[in-house]
Amino acid sequence: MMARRACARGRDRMRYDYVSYIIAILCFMLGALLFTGYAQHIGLTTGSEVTDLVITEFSAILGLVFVGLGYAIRPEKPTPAPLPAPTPSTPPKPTEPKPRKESEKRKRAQLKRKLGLTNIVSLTLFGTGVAALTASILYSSSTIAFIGLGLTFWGAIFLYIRTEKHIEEALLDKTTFPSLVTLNKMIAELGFKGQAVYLPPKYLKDFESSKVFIAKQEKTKLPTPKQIQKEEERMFVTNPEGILLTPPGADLTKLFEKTLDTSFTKVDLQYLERNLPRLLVEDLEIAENLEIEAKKNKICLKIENTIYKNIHAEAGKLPNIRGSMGCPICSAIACAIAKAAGKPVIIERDQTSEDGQTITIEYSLL
Amino acid sequence: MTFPLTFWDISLWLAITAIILLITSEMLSPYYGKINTRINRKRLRNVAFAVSILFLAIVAIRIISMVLTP
Repeated sequence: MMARRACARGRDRMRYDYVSYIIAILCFMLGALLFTGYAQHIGLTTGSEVTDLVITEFSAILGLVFVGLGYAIRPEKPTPAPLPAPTPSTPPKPTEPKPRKESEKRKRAQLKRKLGLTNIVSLTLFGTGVAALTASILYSSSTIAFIGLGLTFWGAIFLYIRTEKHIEEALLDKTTFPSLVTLNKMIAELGFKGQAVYLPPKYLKDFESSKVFIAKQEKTKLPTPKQIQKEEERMFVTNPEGILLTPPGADLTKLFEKTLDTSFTKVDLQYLERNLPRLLVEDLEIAENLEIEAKKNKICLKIENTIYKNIHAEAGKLPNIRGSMGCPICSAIACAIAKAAGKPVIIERDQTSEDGQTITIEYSLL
Repeated sequence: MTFPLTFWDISLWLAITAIILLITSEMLSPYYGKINTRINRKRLRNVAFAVSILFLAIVAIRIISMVLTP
């Protein structure tokens, strides 16, 4: 009964690979008819020998493309539902694994990844363009030359401007959030009540790294660089009592530096004011707009429609993260400011607009 | 057997392609909210600039040839 239902579901799904094969057959038939017309075996012709030949060529190539496409998009064979196990009087025998079928499946999956749809379309355009250019030279036709030039160029462009990898935004949220929850719980249970302070490079032996200090008690005096450097390798600092953590945005700051091809320890706040908007909007494409304004010891930031807006909203529910350490993007910018300004930084204010699209953060330099 | 397009035909094609690429790269810019398009915008912009520069070079060659011919 279960097996019949599974098979019925398989039949209900539209077989697009069959549609591709039918289109391929029609293309081959059209090409064959026009070629026989060109060869004057039958009276079918468009009036121009060159046009007949070109359309034959295109039809043949299109037919091959659709065959390839149909093969690439064919559905996998549905595995029949297992039969219900019999009531055991004797223990069931363990089934042996079938290595051949599994290796074949892996090979097919690898081939599918290589022959993506974009690649097929790009290569087809490119191939058709080269064929058209060749035909244009043979038949001295400027029309076919223009067509060939265009197809070759656009085929090459589509191959060149593909993105390397695409990651769903939901994956970003799901991967990052559990660490923030753990961090929040850890700080709460250990009883660290101070404000998170992003330390500048002078506090650290490895000045390219980023650390955040959270004191045990509120309003604890900020430790001196020497005090931190003595205990930098440890997580729990004794003098003054506190915890030294790697902030959630530390690696994101390193990515910012790598993209800008500089170290934030070598630049100043004006450099960040000039380059952060372009970095986040154009280079990394993680926000639609960024406004940054530095006034005396305060830096105000407004980020619109960032890919981190969901994680920022979720992190807002964690009391030891919001307004203290901040979500990954707020933390990354805090690390950048601490490095550039050379002063300790705290996140003074962290607000989200009602629609959740705009994040406003205010950083203070100590 | 010669290539049927002249130098000026190719410059016309380059002009049209440059316009299309420049408009496309601008329309797909993240400043217009298109942050989810799955193409490499930097490369598209570089290609647009390269084609435009090629076209401008051909225009410069034409101007120079017009100036130099009596």
